[in-house]
Amino acid sequence: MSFDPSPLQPILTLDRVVHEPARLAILTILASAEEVEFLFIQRVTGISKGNLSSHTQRLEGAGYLETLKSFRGRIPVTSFRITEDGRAALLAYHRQLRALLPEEKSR
Amino acid sequence: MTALDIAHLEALTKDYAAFRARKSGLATALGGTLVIALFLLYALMIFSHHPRWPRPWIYVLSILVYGSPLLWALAKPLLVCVLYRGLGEVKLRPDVAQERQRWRWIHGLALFLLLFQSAALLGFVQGFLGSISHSLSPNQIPLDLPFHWRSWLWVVVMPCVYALLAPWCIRGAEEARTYAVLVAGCVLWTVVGFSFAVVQAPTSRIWLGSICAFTLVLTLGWALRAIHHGWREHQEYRSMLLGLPPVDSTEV
Repeated sequence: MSFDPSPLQPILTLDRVVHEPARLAILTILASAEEVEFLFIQRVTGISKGNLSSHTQRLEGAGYLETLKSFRGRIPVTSFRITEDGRAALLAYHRQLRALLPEEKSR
Repeated sequence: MTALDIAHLEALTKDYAAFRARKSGLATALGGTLVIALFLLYALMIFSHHPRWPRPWIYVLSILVYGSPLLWALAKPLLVCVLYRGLGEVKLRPDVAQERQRWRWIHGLALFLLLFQSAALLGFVQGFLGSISHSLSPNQIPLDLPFHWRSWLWVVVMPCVYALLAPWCIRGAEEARTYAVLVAGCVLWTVVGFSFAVVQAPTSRIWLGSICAFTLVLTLGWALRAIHHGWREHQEYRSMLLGLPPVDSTEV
């Protein structure tokens, strides 16, 4: 008896950079605004500083976001902006996931 | 993460960014409160025979009345900065429609101030000429004319200052409304005071009185609306903060 892996193929092709819940949350937030400060993402998602840093680095590495460093007085401020690639990846992920999920049938 | 969570995150980010860009919560309420406070103060001044008040008091009050929109414009960013920056900076995505609406408000406000200014100037000239042609004795004019010259110079000049300030201090429709109410509310009592001071004919008094009463009720209504709206925005912000999850302290 052989196992047919073809139905699983679409799930396996999901973008894993976006698929991780924390990164999905980060990209969702960034897609809803022009520029977002580190503090806002941290407060809204509840992710710790270290974890948030590592996730944003991963997203930046994939070219999905850009980091902006500035100063407010003497305090350094880190902000993020989603790139066109990031927006496209998020949209593609939404589309892919919607296609994978069974349609809700009316009772 | 569910679809509901994603939608919630999107909504929260947009709401907060909109708050940062266009709303000012308690600062809007402050605008309404200033109108009512000045309304009562100026009413007290007019109805308690203000020529009998010491001259420095009148100057201080005049500066307070005309300077209050400027005071509000200065206090507003400070209040917003202190009260509504808890979650950091989030810039709203540029929205052409919103920006167009904002400029429409600013142009409307500038036009309103221009009309108001012209009406004030006309009223002044008419009142001044009327008082001369009727050759009123000094005790028929409760307020002395030299004071009025200066007072009306304020009326004529200040709307220009307010109009110049408008593009810099107004971020959204609600703020434009509050600012308009504040400016109108501040200048209005001077108009009322002067009109009653120089117009002696009873019919003109009734006509002017009814216009003034209507405008004052409208201004007070708007001021109360600004207070209500600002307080509601403040409550929305508070509930937004209360709905946030606790920050995870465990590092992976």
